[in-house]
Amino acid sequence: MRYRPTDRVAVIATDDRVVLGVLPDGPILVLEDTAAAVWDAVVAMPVEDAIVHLGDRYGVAAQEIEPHLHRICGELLEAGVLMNDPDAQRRGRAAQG
Amino acid sequence: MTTSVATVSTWERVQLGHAALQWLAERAGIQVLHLKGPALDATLTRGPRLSTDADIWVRPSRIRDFVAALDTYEWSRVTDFGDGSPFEHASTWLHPAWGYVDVHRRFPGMRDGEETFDRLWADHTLTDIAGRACPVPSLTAQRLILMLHAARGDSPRAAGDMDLAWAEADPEMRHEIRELVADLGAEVGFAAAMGHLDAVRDRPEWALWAAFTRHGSRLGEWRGRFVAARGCRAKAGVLVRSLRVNRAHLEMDRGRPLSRGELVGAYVARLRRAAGELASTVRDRAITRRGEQEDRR
Repeated sequence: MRYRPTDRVAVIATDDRVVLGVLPDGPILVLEDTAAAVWDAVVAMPVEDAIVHLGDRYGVAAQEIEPHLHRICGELLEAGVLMNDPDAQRRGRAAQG
Repeated sequence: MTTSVATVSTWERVQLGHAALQWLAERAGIQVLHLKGPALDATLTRGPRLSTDADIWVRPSRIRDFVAALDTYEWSRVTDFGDGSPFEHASTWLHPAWGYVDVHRRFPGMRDGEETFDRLWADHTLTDIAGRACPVPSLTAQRLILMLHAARGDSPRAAGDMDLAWAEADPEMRHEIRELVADLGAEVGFAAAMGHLDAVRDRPEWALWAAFTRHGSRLGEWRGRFVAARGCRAKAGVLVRSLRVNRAHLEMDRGRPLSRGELVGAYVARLRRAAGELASTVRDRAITRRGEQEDRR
């Protein structure tokens, strides 16, 4: 599974902070520390890889990271700034088929 | 994760504002150019360009459509084109999340009209602002825009901008800027930026630029606006506006609507100030004339 930002978001990403503007009228969401790291990871790589990457970064087992990642992604999906990447899913199915 | 606007800096809001305006322009099918602030080329800044509002230039023939599109969302008009600067080039809007934006229908110093926008659009490039590809003028045009803005003298960064835009430009770039000046009829503003304004004294826009660059009186500024206005209707409009209190600006300064009494007081103060400046101008001219007569004797 892979996520990508929707067309309704403006993104300012710096070291430990991601500011998301929900277009066209807001609100503005601010992700800091681990939430920012989750955003950076899930828009850059498949979720499975993001879990491993974040586990390595914070020195925590993947099982511990996974529920936090799904909770944060759930909020971002609900806010309309993140979406499932259908192209990635299609590519995945084609590779399996 | 937090959702508080209070934790967002003005600079971040300005960038998000540019992105929101680009989103809106794309939906409405309207060409816009993003100016200054985060739209500025990295070679024209020393460190982050921390502007407090977003500036965009809308294709002039679509300005009404763009304003209508702003009205559709949560943008509210703060000043109209005629209420803003003496060049009447921009209208200010405010959004609860994105803050202030100046919507330009022209750029002071460049010839008014569609051809100017066409010329700049022809060699625009794209720059990333808050993750969105935003059209910006070419590097040459950005240098000229900085110079014309600096010439108006209302920017604390004017001297630094002139250094970046002109003093540090190589001969080839300076030649390109001069070519663009000719294409856009920007000779008067360019002369003002270069400190050679008197070389274009015969041009109608001269008086307005002179009032700005020499920090002249409000009367001088209105005289300049009158001379620069093309045609009787435009000149009549300038006369009417010269007597009107800029209610939007006063309300913005005070952060609340004006009462009827305050509005009347503002009108009285404005007329008094105008009368004072007129008397002072007449007195200065009489002294100058007397001096000239004595010199002739």
